[in-house]
Amino acid sequence: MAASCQGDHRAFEQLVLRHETALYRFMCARLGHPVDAQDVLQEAFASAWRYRKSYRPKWRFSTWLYRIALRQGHRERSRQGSWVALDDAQLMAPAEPANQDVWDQARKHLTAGAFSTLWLHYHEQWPLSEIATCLGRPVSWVKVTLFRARRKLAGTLNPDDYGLTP
Amino acid sequence: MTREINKSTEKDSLESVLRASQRVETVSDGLHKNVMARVHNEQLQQSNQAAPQARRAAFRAIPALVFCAAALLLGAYLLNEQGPKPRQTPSISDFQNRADNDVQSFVNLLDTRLAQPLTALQSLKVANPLVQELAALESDLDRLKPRWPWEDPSTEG
Repeated sequence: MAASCQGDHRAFEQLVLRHETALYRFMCARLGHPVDAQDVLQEAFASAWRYRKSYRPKWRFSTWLYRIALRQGHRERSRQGSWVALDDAQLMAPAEPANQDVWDQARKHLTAGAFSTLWLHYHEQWPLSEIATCLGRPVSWVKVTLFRARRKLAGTLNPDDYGLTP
Repeated sequence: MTREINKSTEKDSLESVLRASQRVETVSDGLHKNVMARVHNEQLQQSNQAAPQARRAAFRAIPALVFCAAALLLGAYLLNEQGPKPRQTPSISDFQNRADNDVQSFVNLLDTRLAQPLTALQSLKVANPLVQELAALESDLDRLKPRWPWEDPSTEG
């Protein structure tokens, strides 16, 4: 990242290669649509390049990048929301896949912050402190959100579908 | 107790489901190229914006520079017109005269100061009878002092 801050395009490409898949999966799960996730991914990396001089080495690059991506995701959501309101929302809504996994259920039933917390903790296996930094919240908030998200998700999932203990 | 165990088991099983259900979306080569193209585009935009920004900054600085130059010119004009005249450089004779005057005034002052205690002492000496008596004794002693014959004033001549 230090080389990228100096304007090294190749060094930045290495960072893109290292993080793009994980970030793309996160955005797909979060936004529920691959095309939106692709837009956010491109915008996130472009913003990371644009604001690379504001990066501080004390942060992990992934934390900083995910924070940018989350902000882009919010922007994308609000832009889509205003656009869909003008048109027929039913026509524009993407078709739900037939076999939804647990993350699709989580996206449907949890808030954006709770979903991100759950994903970063269980899918990306980030420590709580990094999640707190990424989401701009205290660690205690992350713990409480994880607990509530688990409880809500357990209440909404059908135990037979996901092999949960009844 | 049973409920707590059930809750714990439920939590563990949900956690294991969450950990196990990994997403498999991959970034295609085309998407990666798009990302890098977007970054490259951003780089080009930044470099293109840099020159106009510098030009804009230079244009923005022109009024300030003109104002500063005008203020300097006005200040210089006012100083020249209304300010104190420059002092003439003193010549060597000026310095000499001044030094002479200074020495003379110092000598006068010294004379005055020295003359005062001497005068006072002299007047005191004349006025004091003890001093007069002491002077008389001194002359007596001088007279009674044994002298060589050639020193005796009475045997002179």
